[in-house]
Amino acid sequence: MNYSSIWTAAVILQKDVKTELRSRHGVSILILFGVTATMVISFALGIPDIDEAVAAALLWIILFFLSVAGLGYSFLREEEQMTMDGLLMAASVEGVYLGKVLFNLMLLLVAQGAVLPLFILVFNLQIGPWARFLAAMFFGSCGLSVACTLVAALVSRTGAKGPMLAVLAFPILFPLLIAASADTAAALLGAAGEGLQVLVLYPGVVGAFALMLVKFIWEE
Amino acid sequence: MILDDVGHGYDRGFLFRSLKADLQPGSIAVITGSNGTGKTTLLRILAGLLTPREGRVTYCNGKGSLPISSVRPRLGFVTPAISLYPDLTARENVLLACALRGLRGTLDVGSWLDRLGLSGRENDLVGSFSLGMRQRLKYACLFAYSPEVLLLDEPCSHLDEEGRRIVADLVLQYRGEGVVVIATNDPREVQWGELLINLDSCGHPTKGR
Repeated sequence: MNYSSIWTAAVILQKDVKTELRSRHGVSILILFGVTATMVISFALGIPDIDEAVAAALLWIILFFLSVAGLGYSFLREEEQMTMDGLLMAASVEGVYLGKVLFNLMLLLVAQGAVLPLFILVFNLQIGPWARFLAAMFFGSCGLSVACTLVAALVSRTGAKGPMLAVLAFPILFPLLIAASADTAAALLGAAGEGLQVLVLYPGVVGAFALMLVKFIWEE
Repeated sequence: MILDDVGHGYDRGFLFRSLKADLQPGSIAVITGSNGTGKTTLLRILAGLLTPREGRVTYCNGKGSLPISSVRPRLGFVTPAISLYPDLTARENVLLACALRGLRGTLDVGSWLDRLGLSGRENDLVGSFSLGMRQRLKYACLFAYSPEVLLLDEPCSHLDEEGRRIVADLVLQYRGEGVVVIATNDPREVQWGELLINLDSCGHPTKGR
């Protein structure tokens, strides 16, 4: 990772934000999925007050499926539009990966901006310390973005489509989802929890691994 | 650019083998061959997007060989297999091609679009362009960042006569600055080459023109 990769990441982020603002495909997929899943769960359970641990688990299940439904989109679009090779010709693979991670994180945070208030309202959740809750959501989102972008890169190069992303992402995301659910539940209860350490470390560890791996994905 | 016993193929065997060539700046090589003989595959190998099954391609400067990751951004590859961004304007596509290669500041995008006959369409989305206009815009993107090697796959596909003339002028003018490799079966484009690589005859280079 060097200055050139960071520059590339910034250029790709700017390009993806610009195209997303014109099409709004990616953010629409994420918000529609999140809102639909929240409403379906709410009607199925039929109770306004649920246990905090169950609420936290449901929230992260929604975020997991929302991520695998939407975060592969930016890579698949590059392959479908036949622009991926042009990108790889022009820039470092690390920069391309980092740019996509940042764009996916931005998409995820925007989608959460719509889904989280609805989820809190529908399930009548009382948030303990807000900073702790938001930290869990932010670092959990970083982890989802880093891992889903890596798997999306793999899937897009194999020519496989969406469902493969969920199958491959789940084993990688399992530790993150466990820690995120536990820490979110602790934040909702206002209790102590150790999940945040895992949530902070996870994006760094998986991100470092991904930066080493992307060369082998894109450079035969 | 040195091709050293390069060979490649897929499940049914080799498309070409033992391909040798030494291309110096200022030379134009033309790859010909029937459909399916591996013209585009060879260009992808030269672009560093594909690793050959046999042999290797080396890019050298005066001091020695260069890693392909550092060479790739300095190559200009025009092929139907690489598209422009339809959700960006013509100007944004050119600026993106330059920015990804680390070029910043005031670039003369307008003059390149003008030379390619696209003046007045700078701020139109590429999604609204015809195939011929997209092909012209690919050349504007390419020449705006001054590549050191041109790899052109069917360079005049979708172009009208005026477009063909513009591209021919640009490529022949560029010849003095770097290496040009063209994959084509069009007799007019074959005329541009000094070195012919015919993949129908196993790819042994012969003198052109």
